[in-house]
Amino acid sequence: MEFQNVIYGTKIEKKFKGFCLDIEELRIPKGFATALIGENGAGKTTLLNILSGIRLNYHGKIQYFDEQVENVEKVKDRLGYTSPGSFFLPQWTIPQIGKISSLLFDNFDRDKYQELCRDLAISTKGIKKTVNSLSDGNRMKLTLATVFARDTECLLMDEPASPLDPLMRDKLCGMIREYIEEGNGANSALFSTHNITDMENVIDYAIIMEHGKIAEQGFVEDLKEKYILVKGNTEDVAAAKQHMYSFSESSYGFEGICLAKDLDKLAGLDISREVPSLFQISVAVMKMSSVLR
Amino acid sequence: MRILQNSGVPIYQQIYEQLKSDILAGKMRQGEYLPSIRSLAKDLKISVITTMKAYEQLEKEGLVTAVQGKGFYVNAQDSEMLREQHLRKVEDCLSEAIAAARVAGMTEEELIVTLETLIQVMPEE
Amino acid sequence: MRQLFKCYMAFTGNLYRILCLLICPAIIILVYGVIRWKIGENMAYGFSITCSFLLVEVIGNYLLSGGIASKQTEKLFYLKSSAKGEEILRNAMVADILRRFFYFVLELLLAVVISEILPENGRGSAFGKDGGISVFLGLLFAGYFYGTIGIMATRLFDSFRVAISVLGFLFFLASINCRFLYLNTPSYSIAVVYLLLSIVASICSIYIVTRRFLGVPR
Repeated sequence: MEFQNVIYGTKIEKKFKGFCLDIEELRIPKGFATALIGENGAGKTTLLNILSGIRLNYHGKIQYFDEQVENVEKVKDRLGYTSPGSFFLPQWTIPQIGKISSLLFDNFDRDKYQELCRDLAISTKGIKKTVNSLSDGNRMKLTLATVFARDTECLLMDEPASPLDPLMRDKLCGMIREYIEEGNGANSALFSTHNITDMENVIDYAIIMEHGKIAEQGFVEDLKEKYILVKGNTEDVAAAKQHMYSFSESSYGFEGICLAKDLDKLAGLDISREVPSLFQISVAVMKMSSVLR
Repeated sequence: MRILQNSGVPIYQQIYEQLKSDILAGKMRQGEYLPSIRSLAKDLKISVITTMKAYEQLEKEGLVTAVQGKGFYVNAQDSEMLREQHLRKVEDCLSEAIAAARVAGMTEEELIVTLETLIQVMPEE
Repeated sequence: MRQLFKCYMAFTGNLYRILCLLICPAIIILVYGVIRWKIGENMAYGFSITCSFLLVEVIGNYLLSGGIASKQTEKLFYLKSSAKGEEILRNAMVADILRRFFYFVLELLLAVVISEILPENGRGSAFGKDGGISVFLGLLFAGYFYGTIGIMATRLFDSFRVAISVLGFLFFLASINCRFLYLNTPSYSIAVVYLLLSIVASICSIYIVTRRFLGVPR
């Protein structure tokens, strides 16, 4: 499938003690919602910090938007970054954050910010609450309010769903969809997530990371054609196992992911074929990357 | 349009089929634009890539045409083309039936009798 | 200028503003105005007004996060995500420096004004006589320098123990300084030395915080 890149990176490298981020080629498609999937420590936060200009010491080349701007400082205004960790000073109040945001970003809309704070029900007891008195969930909602109150072209969100309750997660998915729709192809979103299932309905493109490298990536619909969920009987285990990508056995039979191109090798066996969920694909890919490493 | 999340039929397939039947039934006029892939995704609460795949499939079959920057509009479904499509479907189904008949060991006469019986029995729509 | 103070306001909380920027300075001005009126200006006066100023600035800054403690710059991902983040932070620091300087000017000056205004004056008003201005400037630049050093130290180490220890050391320096200011023949050399030190310290303090801000995250 042909697509333009909103972010294109090559040879992105960052070494830490005991961990190394090493990405040959990074393509984030424009106009879609991309998910960074991986275990803790796979490198998702590091990558997002590099892309958003938070972390400046790394190797590699990154280009933003059509004009292929390379200096992230020039485009920070068009990027919307959120993080569930350190973000605001603890003593800031909600209205104060509104003032600071106007100083930091030209495209910050104060009215929209206040409207979002009300919509998301960030604080119920008056508006003078400070950041450190908010719960994790409310703090994340506040972060989201500041980023959605701006006119951006690419969201870079680090675990936006983690601190949120299910109702709010659903609302977040709706907000992302609306953001993508408003841009009509110009707006893109990149977010890392552990809750694949919760976000699955909004993910267009998935990048599965393992130990600092990209293990698999692609449009969700393409991945669902590449990987097939296969279930079969115990007596066929020996025959099936060698052709399967991932495999697990139980007293009721076996189940696993088979690559579509290998499916004919299972012909003749009594198997059922299903379209796997993104969650199942991700788990299989992550497992296989760990094994092969 | 109604999409079933857990029916086992891929969502893009459901969208494709429902839109296709709408178009062929004439519920959408020639030149009319389908909803944008993103607004449809938003309304149905699914990913954009899913609607995109459904639309691309419709385009492959000649039911719609893509216009850069504007979206997908419905192609002229003239009765000639419609008829041709249905004729093709009849041929496909009959070929399948003949193959199955051979496997079952039916003779040509038995097959024709079965066909005539079914025509009489099936109600007109 | 307005921009500088807008940024400064962004970083300071209400409690800090009321306590350290309003109430305490007012108390210092009134108390020392009266002391100077009653007893006149001498080494003890210079020493204690400097120490009071330092107490409010360093401890107030540390406890109420009025300035920007070093640990906090690590948390400012929101600022880092903006191209203007560094500029805003720097503006706030510069505003803080200017504010601190002028506050000490104000405190020293108004204390003198009060002591001159109140009736029955005449008690050893050092200001206006020979040596008055050199003493004033000597106190001013020295006090400002100590304040800047004190705050730099608390930003670097971010611990109450360090804040108190540094404060104690600064009091010690202030006492030596006052001995020279008040008991020797008036000269501007002390004021000049501290003026230079103040300029260097101010630049360093801003530099340290912005470096931390840019270089940090893991």
